[in-house]
Amino acid sequence: MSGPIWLSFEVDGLALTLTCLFSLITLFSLIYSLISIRRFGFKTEYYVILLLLAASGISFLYARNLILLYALWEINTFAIWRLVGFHRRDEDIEHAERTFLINFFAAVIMLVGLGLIYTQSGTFDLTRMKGLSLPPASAYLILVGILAKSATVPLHVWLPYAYESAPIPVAAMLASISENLGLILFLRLFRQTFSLPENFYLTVMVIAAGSILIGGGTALVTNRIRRILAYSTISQLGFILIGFAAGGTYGIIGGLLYIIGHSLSKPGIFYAVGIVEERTKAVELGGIGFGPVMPTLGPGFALLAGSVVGLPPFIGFFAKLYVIIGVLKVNLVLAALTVGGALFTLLYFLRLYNGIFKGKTTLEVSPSPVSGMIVLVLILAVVTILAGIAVIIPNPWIEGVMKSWL
Amino acid sequence: MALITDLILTPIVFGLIGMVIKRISRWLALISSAISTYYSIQLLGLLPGSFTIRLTPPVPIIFQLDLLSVTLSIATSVLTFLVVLYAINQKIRDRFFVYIPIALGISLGALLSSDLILFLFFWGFLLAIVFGLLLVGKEGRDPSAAAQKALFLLGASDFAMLLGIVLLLTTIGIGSLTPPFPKPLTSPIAIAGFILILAGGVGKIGGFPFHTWIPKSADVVPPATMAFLPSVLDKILGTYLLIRLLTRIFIPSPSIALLIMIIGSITIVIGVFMALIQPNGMRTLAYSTIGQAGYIIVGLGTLHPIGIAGALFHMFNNIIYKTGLFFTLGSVEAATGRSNLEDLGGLAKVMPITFFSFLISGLALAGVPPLSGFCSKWMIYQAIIQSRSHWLWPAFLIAAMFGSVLTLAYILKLLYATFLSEPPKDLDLDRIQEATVNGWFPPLLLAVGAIVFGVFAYSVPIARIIQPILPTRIEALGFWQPVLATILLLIGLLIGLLIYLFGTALRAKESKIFIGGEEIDSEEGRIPGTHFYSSLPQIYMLEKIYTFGKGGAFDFYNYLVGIFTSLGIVAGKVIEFLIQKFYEVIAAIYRIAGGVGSEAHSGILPNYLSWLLLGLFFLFLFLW
Repeated sequence: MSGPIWLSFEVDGLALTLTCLFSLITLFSLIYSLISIRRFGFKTEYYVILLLLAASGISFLYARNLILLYALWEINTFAIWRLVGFHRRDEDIEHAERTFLINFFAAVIMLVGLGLIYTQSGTFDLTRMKGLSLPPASAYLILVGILAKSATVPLHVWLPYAYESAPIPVAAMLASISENLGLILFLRLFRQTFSLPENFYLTVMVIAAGSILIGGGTALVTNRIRRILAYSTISQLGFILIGFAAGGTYGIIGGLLYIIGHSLSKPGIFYAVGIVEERTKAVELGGIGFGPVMPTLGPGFALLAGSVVGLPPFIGFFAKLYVIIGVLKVNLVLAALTVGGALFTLLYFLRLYNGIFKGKTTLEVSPSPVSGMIVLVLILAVVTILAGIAVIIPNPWIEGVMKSWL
Repeated sequence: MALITDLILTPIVFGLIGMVIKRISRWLALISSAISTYYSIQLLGLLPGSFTIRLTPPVPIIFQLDLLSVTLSIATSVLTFLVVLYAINQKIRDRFFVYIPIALGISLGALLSSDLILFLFFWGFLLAIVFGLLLVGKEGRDPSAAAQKALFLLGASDFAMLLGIVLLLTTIGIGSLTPPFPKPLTSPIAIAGFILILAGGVGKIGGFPFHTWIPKSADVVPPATMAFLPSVLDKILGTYLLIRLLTRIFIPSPSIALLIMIIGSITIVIGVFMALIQPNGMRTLAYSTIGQAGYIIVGLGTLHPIGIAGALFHMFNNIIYKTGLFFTLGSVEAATGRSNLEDLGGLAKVMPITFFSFLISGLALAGVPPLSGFCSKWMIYQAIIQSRSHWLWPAFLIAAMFGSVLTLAYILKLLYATFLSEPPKDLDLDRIQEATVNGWFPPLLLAVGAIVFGVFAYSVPIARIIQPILPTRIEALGFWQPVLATILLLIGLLIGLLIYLFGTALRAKESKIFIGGEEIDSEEGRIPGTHFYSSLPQIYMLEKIYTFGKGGAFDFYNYLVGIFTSLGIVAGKVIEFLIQKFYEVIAAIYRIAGGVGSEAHSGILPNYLSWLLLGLFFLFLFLW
């Protein structure tokens, strides 16, 4: 290992798979940005920071040193801060600050936890501390950081504001890259490296279940489109976290499939919503009636929503099924709550779909070059179906990822 | 093995090709259902067999063939063929013909799969396709509200079943629909799993409380969709799951049987009473579908061999005559462009074959001997009497028998209003033509099927189809001799015909009504069938019940959505609000602290000096 001692990386199937996924979404978001960001200022900064967000997210997958992980984590937070406030209106700046402060505050608490690990093991290198036991205090401190980054109740409050201000491609990347980092850290630390007492995992499961229900419930009664998507993300991240916390083959594989499924479909949904916003200037449900304007956008949206809801043959089905199996092996009540959360998902996506695509339009629809981005929505919709079929049909790629965890 | 994958994949692939090349999708649907019929008949040669593609996780693909699944596969394929044949030249959007073969392939997959997760995959996939199919509306109608209702109700029952199946997988270790031997239902977890899966089966078959999407869809989707979904696919799959659940996976206890029979009886009563008062033929048939699902559920709930055989037989009968009824009323709608009973009448003269098919299928539905519905209902009654599992059994028997009588009542209403009553003025009978060959042939074939399944009930369906499927022998059923009864009935009819021909009936004279020189408007004297039983909702107790029903009090969907919405309000408006407030309080504290600090640092030297002195004072105080 040459270079500074803390620069330690390791390649595994999970990191490779997620790299492909993150790169794909970054590419799509860049394509979308080329069209939608054109008329704004600060373009150079935008692209640099967008790539910084992607780069920090991707390197995070390979990093095996606590200092390095923390540094990348903070770079990512910094990038989010700059991008959320991109439009520079007063409320955007306030939202960006809110985002940054909560994430930074939680990260500092996490840093204390990481420091505690160092005092315990004398090293920052994750590969050298495999199997060590961890003082629960430090696990809980690190959990604070993870919950904030992965927008889990009660540290989710930044996400609705961030989504409201961020440009659409940034929101897509937040949903599919940044917010997964917390979950990946959870997997790396608490599943791959350390083993912790059962009640820690149970606590996390309860928090995650609360996140699923509160996120889903709030998404059902909110009217602003982007806030609905934010609470939907909060709820979906809860599913992933509950899978990882439940552990076992099913829980972890379910969580990983869930990351793939959610990271494929949420950006597509954002792009679709972005097209609607751009052309109608609508921010709230009701009176949009976008269905007849672009007849293929509605079905594309519905396919992506079907994946998030968890209908076969989309990848979301297997993800949800395995997470539920994993949770059920630990606790029956939490599994029932998880299924209830799935029904929330079905309901709020029906409501969102009706609100955007059904009914009569009362808004003026203007043409926009962003409409061409419907191609991205359709590609992602097809990919979610193909990914679902890939889970059933034997293929080396998915199996490789699974084998690294079995 | 290859045969099974071909059987499942052929229709799906044909459907996908049809999605790309819309022009030929109709013919692709027809060809693929014919191929499926051929393949599924071929499956009989493989019996009994179990086929595995791969055993490693994540999804073990295991298929299991037995007579039940293969017979039902053949039935599904044949009926789908008839549906496509019937619909092929109707004004239905091409998307219909894309979804139908895909739905067929998926249902065959569900029928043949043995592994529970694979089954769940097909079952849920079917929900997605059913949603798409229900979104294909009639011209000028928006079906999306009905489709969403279906999606949510069926989705809820599917998620319940998912939880139940996962529960069986993880805690009891049942991973297959066809385990080597059934387990007793003893532990609470097993009972919970059983009830959750039961919800899936009842939801699919269209039983209470998951039934309300069917009537809502009835007059917004094409008749062919109604013939395909609630009356063929859902009945077959729901019955299949319930039979597997009750006979192969578990040995149910009497209390579970009671639960199932209560659900079934409620379903019968709701279906029948609501069917009576519908002003629209399609809606009547939709409620009728629900009522007949109730018979199947009650028959299965008896847990008696005759009851299960009767339920299976009733399922076959039901898909035969109910599909025929949907077809015929669909033809009427296509020919006249109307669906409300009030606007129809007198079509027997101009659509004789359709009328005949409707008559036979309708009487079979009502259980008029010797047609098919009679025998299966008879078996179900007998099972209720013989099993006597609970002191409530007379109530179930009354529900079933009354249901049968009232079924006859609403069928007569439909028959009269559509085909026999005086036509309204604006309906020009001369311009209405009989349906084309593919329009009248499938219902006629099904009507003949209803006759065969009734007259030769023992020798054809029971001995050749039902008995081989079931493990136990079906005992002789009372003194009912359908062939003899038919002969006697025919003699009776012949005598009636002779009396008609040689009696006074033909010599009656028709003359114009004359009252005081006034012209009587013929429309005023017309009695459309809608007035039948219209006094029913005015009976004291029933009045209130019907009023409640109209307000949606019996609609489980409203309750379910209400529960989730109120939970959402609690989560969104209360908990979320409190969390946000908490953060705002923290921010406010910081702001106040900052404000105090900045007030203190005012830039005036004496102020800083006094702070210094105060600090020194505290320092002394502590260090002392």
